[in-house]
Amino acid sequence: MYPHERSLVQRMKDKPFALIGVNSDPKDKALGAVKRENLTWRSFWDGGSPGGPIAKAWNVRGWPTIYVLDAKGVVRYKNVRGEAMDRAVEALLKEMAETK
Amino acid sequence: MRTLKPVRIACTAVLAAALAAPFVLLAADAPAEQFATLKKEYDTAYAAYLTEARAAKNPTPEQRAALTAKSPLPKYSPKFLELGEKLGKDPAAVDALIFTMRIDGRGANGQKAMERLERDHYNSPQMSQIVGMLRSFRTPAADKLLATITEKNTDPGVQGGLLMSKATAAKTTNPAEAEKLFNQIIEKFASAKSATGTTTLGELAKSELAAMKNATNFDIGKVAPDIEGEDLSGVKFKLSDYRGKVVVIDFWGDW
Repeated sequence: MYPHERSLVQRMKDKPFALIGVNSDPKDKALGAVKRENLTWRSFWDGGSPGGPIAKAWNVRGWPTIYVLDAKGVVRYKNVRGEAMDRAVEALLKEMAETK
Repeated sequence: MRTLKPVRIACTAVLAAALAAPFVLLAADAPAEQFATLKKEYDTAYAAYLTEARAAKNPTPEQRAALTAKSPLPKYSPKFLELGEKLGKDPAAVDALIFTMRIDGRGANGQKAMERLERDHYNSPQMSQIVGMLRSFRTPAADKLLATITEKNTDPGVQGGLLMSKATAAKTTNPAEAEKLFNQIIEKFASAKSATGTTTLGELAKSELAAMKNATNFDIGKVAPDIEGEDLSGVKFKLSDYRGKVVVIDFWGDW
């Protein structure tokens, strides 16, 4: 998981793209993972346990859960992992460029 | 001194009798205690078994067989069954029988436990603990027990629990039916206790309905709600700060 996301973020660093985490760990554990795995993206902290307010509002029942939003903030893909996540992001970036 | 001695002996005798009597009484009169004692014994044995099983990484087939042979389940399921049969109509009998079916659901003792529950305890309010799982056993004894409880149990927690398990099962296959059933629970069984006893069926049904509604809000093609919060360093930010970008939102945990 971490290596794939790291490489996606690295590859898209000059594109209108962001990966935003919502983390459900106690803070020291989350910060430990950020340091150990060299995670460069930003995460909301969801209160320290699964079932925090953000996860609840977003109807998240399993981890990890992935949503992909387009530039207008519309949910376009759910739970895409690995290559499927790459394809989803690339498709939305292409769409953005075409509708400009 | 000479007069003290006999008194002391008498005292000791009375004390011994007093100590012995409640002990005997306890063993005979507190079925709940008997169940708790056996359960504790089982928990200890099971914890030890688990520790050993976890320690064995990549076991050979022989090692795995040796490990399986050490499982406390075959030793304890007849003990719980026996206790459940011995305790008659006591609620602790139901606890023991339910525990037998929990650890031996598809085995012979589990079936006997369910037959006994069907025969002697179908109207117990404790059935609310099992109505949710009975559907998944798919054995004749389980199906019969479920049918009898459905037909004859008069406890609102049990009948509400039955409706709850039906509604939960319908959530993915028939959402409209699930919604109808959750609303029925709110109407008829709102104040009945949940299986765990920690909340009411009304509250559970309401949260299920809210979650179902929320799930449809997250259909692909809808605008996601904003998130306002703090990052891991405590700096406030918003999801909407990233409008104009393609955003992957990753709900993650480091486990």
